[in-house]
Amino acid sequence: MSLPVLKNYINGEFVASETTTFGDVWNPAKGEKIARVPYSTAADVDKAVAAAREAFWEWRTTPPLTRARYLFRLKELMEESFEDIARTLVTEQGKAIDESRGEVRRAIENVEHATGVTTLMTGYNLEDIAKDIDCSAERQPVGVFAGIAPYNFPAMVPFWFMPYALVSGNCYLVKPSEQVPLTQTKIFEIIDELGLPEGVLNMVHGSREVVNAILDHPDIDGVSFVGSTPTARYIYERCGATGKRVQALGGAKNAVVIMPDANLEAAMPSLITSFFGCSGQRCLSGSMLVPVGREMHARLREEFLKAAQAMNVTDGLSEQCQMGPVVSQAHKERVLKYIEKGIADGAELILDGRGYKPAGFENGFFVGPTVFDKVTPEMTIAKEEIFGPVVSIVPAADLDAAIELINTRGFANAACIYTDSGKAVRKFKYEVLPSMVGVNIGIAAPMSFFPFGGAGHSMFGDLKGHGREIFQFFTDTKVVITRWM
Amino acid sequence: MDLKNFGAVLTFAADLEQGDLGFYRAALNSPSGAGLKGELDKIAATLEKNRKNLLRTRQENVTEMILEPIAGLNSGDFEMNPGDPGAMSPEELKKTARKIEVRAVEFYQTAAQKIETLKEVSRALKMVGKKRTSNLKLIGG
Repeated sequence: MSLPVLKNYINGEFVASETTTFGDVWNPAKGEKIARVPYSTAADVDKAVAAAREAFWEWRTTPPLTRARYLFRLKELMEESFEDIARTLVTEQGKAIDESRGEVRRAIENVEHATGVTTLMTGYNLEDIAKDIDCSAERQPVGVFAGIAPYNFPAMVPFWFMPYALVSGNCYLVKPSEQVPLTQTKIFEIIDELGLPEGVLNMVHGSREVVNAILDHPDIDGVSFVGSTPTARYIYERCGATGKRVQALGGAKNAVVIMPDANLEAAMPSLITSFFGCSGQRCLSGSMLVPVGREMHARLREEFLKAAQAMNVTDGLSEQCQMGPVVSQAHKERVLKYIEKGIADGAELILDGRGYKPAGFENGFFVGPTVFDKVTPEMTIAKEEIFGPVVSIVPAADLDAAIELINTRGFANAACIYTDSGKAVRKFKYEVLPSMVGVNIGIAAPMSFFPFGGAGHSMFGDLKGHGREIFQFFTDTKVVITRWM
Repeated sequence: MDLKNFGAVLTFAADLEQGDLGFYRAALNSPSGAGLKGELDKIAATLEKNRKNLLRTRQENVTEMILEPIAGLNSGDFEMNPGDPGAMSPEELKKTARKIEVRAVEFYQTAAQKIETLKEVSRALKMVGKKRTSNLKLIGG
């Protein structure tokens, strides 16, 4: 049976790429190929950017409220196709259907937030900065932006940027992950119904060549990226070299600290979600579980192990699924290597997820919940991002030791603490380097109306995703000093 | 089957409405339902609306922060095969309808309690439970 071949969306229509090179899209639960994705060329990118540049002036002069109305329509159409998008996402990414629905919901929330452009994009002014002279700061759209998306959130992450770029008056190019291109293709089928001016919004599938073409393109003014730290650094440097605005969000090594006074029973469901949600493939996932004190360590080990063992790991399309497969065979092998490394380094493997094969899905890319105890800060599994359902219990003697652990990882994306102590919380949020902090929350996931992004090696650039700040990224602040003679 | 997830609970609820709706529609087309046409019409319309509301709730109230597992809710406790209304007498039909509604009310009360941390969802389940209680009264329960 021949597989569907995906198309790019350029200048208001779906078009075949010029490429002769294609990749496979997989259903990770079944281990089956489901589509072919073009590894588009620099010429494809050039066409998309030319269309966007051509569309820019008319779009830029369209009133913000009129631009927002396209987003209202987009929201409505996404709501109508909600379940279809969510199921497509599961089919190519593998996550549980509930997680997928949650992701699509978050994508829509960004559309909703972006429609507030008439208050969020406003500038400011002051009369009489000198005798008879007034001054205003006005936000103006910049031009053409591009977003390069990761495989773990194929619906949501492009929406951290795209709706804001658009509503601010910019034109945009989305490059979905080549591993999970079907979700954005489905969304672009919806976008095609919006009646947006041609060229305002484009999508080019592909891999490295497309990324480099975006980074080097002289008519692209800025790039948003979410992915691994080495690639984020590369993108930041290359955008710097070509003078682009850039926000490059990288990897993480998140710790979840459990203080001796924490209510473990109440915390356990959210801990399990934190470490095993999306099979650990998210930059907010807990990776290191840090009990403070011996007594909490013993309790946590027992309770967490019990909860991890009870997880239902299967095809994400099952309503009963709590954790699906990882995205690919290659990624599964990468995760398994980290498990082997943990064993070799002397950590105690107390729950082994290797060889996990749910009935009916024996060819899927599954790794079961995996838990190491007695992990030390020097071990590889406590230093590198695994991006899989592998938990390292790293005991700490006290809160200072836990904070020291967090602040010496290089990554600084998110950190969480479970405690009833206000004093401990204050110290924690004051001293930890990661810039997303959860208090009695396992996933410090900000909503669309707050910014998303880390510090340290977890983010390169200064303006983060969504929130109010995103309007700064997508606009130039023009200062106008006026005197009437 | 254990209903451990937010989606599993709401999908089961929507399916429950759909299944019961099938029974009431069949009852409307059966001779035994002739005397209850007004009531059955009203119940069927309510169940259809309930189902839409439950699916909307599933769509609008799930985010990745609220995927915490639910414990102690099993679909088996609320599944029932009401039988063919065409083969029932009017009295049997009424009795079966009451059983259907009693079981639905029990489910929604239990589920609303289990999912209480998600206020919007809990409220939606309670509301459907109330509507099923009204159905019960409508058929003399």
